[in-house]
Amino acid sequence: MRRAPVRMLTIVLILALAWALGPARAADVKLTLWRLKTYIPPADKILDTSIQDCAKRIGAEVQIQTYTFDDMWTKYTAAIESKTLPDIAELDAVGPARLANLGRLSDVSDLVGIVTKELGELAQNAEGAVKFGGKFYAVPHYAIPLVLFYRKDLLEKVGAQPPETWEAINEISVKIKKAGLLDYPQGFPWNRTGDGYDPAMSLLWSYGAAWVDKSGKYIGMPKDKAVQAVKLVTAPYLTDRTAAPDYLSWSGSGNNEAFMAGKVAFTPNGPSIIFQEDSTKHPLRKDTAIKIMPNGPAGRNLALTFVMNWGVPVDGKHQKEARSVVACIMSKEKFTGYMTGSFQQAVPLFRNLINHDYWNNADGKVIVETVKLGRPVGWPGPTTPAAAEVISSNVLTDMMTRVIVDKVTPEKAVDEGNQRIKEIYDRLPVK
Amino acid sequence: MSVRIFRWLVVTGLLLLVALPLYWILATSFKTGRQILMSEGVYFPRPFTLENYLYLFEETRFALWLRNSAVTAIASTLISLAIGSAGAYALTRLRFPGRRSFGALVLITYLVPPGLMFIPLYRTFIQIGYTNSLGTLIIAYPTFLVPFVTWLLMGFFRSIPRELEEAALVDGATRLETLYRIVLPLAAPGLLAAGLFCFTLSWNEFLYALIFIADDNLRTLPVGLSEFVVSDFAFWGQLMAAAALASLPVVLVYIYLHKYMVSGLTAGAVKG
Amino acid sequence: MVLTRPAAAAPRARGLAWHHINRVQERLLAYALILPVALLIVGLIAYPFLNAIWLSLTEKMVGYPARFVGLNNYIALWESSRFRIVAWNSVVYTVGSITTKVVIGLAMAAALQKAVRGNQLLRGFLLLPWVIPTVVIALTWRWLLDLYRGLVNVSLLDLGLIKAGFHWLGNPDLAMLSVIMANVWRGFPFFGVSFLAAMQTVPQDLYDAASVDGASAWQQFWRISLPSIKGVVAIVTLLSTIWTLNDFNIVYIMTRGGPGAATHIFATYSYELGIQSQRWGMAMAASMYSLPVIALLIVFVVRYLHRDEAGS
Repeated sequence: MRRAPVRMLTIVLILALAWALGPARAADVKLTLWRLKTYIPPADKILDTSIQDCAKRIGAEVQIQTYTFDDMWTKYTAAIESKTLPDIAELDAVGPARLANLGRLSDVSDLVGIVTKELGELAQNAEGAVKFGGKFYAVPHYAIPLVLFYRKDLLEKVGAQPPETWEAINEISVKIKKAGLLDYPQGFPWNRTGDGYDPAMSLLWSYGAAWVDKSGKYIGMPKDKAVQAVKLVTAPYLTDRTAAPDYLSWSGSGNNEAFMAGKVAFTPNGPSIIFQEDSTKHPLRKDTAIKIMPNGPAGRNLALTFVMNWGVPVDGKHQKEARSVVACIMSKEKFTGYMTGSFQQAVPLFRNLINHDYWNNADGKVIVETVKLGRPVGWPGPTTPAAAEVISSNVLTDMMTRVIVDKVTPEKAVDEGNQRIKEIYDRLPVK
Repeated sequence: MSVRIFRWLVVTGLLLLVALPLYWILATSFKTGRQILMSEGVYFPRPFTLENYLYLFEETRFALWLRNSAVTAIASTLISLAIGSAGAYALTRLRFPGRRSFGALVLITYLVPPGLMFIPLYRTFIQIGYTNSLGTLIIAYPTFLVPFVTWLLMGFFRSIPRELEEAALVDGATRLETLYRIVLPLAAPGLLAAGLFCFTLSWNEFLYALIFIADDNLRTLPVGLSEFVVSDFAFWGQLMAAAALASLPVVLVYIYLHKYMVSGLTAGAVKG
Repeated sequence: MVLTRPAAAAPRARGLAWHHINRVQERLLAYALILPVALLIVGLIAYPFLNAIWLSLTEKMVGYPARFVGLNNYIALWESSRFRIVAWNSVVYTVGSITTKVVIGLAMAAALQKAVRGNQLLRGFLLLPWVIPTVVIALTWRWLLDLYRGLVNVSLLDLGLIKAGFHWLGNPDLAMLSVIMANVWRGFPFFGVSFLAAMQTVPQDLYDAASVDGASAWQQFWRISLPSIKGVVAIVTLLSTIWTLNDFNIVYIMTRGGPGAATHIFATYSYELGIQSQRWGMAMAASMYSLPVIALLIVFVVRYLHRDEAGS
């Protein structure tokens, strides 16, 4: 009974000694980094390796946390309120606007300058999401383009050309259904995910139905144009019956699965479907093709919604180290490595790499073109917190589902949509 | 005669109702991604594979989530049992002013649902500066466990004859000693039942774990499971394997101890 | 239970002083024992609850300070068509789930009432849905009801009972049915086992006497079993109603409140307001709308029980 404490003490002393005399721990600085968990795991691994390497170079340690598109704002909301934002935050297209407006992001104009030296000039359309009041509050990382996936074989069977307009998509879907090939070929999910609000913006903008002017102030969606656009969305669900109502309840990967299970002929998505088909030697790979999203009467105004940007929140206690890590991740060597290992998911936003040989193939050209034609959330104005909220509150897709599910008229739905948007802009005025 | 038919119908119906989804979980967990995607071998896995289970432990942090859930559930249970049994004893055996109202208060708080409290409770934790830790959950869970435990144990304690304690008291024991030596042992089935309830409710809790914890390393099972839904394709196989494994601990515990849970429900519901 | 005093328990006379100290000691002990509960209630339930009421009277956007706006949030919700749908859905979801669970629970109790071999095993098996994590249940049901590959549609199609798959999660009415089904699947064991336990405390003589008088099994059920377990039915129903009215997991994971807002209920809508729209004041106001219903229910059930107690 008396030996136990003595033994314990000895063990404790030995351990303490060992710890004290052990190799001096090189990393005194511990950084936290939050990044998106993408649909392409190998790309994530490359990024993580780069991050860790960059940290080691300056004698720091990085703890990487991931989030998905779905729970990103749950995490960030909690962190904003509890003032526990990470040292380095990978933000989406609206994150910088929201956080900068709250004064929670550091000015990183110098960082952008450094990256520009290595990677070339920043694409003009990528500025809207990160540049406010002449200063940069985040460093653009990459963009995931949303392209139109379609089944080559089915289109051939009904003698159709790859669609250039939104109407064409609907028409071809009707043909496919009539030919008995698929019950619900039109796989556009107007749901509360990016697969929903990205095409929603592209659609409305291609009909000239933006809700702000060039300065970003509210003007409301022009009713006739918005109604025109909405009717294109609701026809497949209500009259053509080429879209199944279940598509409205899809989660982020629902349309991926449906396409790969051969149940839909059209669906908007990032390049991850190609990656998934390649890595599983999918039988439909040879029939899968991509095209740039359609045109409308007001032109091809695509939404650049899936942009990832590096922010350095002011909460962080190691601003200098955080900035060097970001600069290092965005160095030519590291970023090129990431880009070429991303299975065409990571489209660069700095000039030099956009023209890289990696994109010089059929699919690559479509992908790069999409990003080049992309417009920031809040177009034709800059990305503002109000615009951010319009997207995160799913006003646009709610408008569509009001017609499809609640059987409200398109006119009424557009009025409701405008009302909601106006209320948001009243609450979050644009300066 | 019709009674037997009724019995048979109800029992069979319920058995099927319960068994089919459970079968679907297991069957899916043993299918390959390809099979699930292309709807091959819907009713029975063909080929049968363990790759989903292996994936869980090799590529995801499933084991870590298991550990976090276990730590949180066990700690919350022990704390809630301690607090709840103390309160239940005081409310049923001791006389003090305000006893009636306090008893009513405990029961009323039982009725405040977590679905309403997640934001204000989170703000409270922010104010005391303690978030993003398993400890946050361990403190938060008793808010819906303790009222229930108290209510359940009150019913149990009431069914233990006072005479036993009074005899001991007269023989010179203190109140605490009677609680410790007489009441608690006799209420063991009730404690066990309450403990199982606490464990189950903590193990399954989702909303608080989603909001209060940001750290990937501290993720619990339910949150980890829901992650599968959006971050991977052809995920149903792995997800169902995770679901099966996530349910296993609680199911095992219940297979052995369900009769205590039932008697717990009895005492609580009937006499509480 | 016959109460008898153990023979040797003749209280010794100790005088008033001891009695007084004993009373004081008892009180101190009582306060010490209820202190943890009290702290928990005050600090982590009452305080946040008051905070919630305060928040609901403010415009609090994430990251910004709260700004008092009085009843504006409540009024805005009242006038919002989306919220009215949410309130209606919550009622439908709750009433639908509860009535189904009560019926199944009663059927289960009636069927398992007679002590038969294997009853315990059966009861244990039927308890499983209540034990399995709700997240698992929600995900499983979502997968079961998948339009193209879910077990339900596939087997119905294979059996030739339907020509095309049901849009379980796409059609607004079917979606509500689906989430109710999942809720019922998860919850019926609680009802069944509670009712069964209560039924088993009914003295057998009552049934015997009724049989002698020629009453059928059904009559016995309606006239003896049901009335005897009224109290338990009331309590279990009340508890479950309160939980269901503010249920989050099942709907969130199965449909996120969709399609449109067809399955949105108080808790999921509050979450959407708080996390997606980043408006915490509004989110709290939405949740608060469910409280009057809960309060009414509590009053109703408590009075019913008191009347019952007084009557028996």
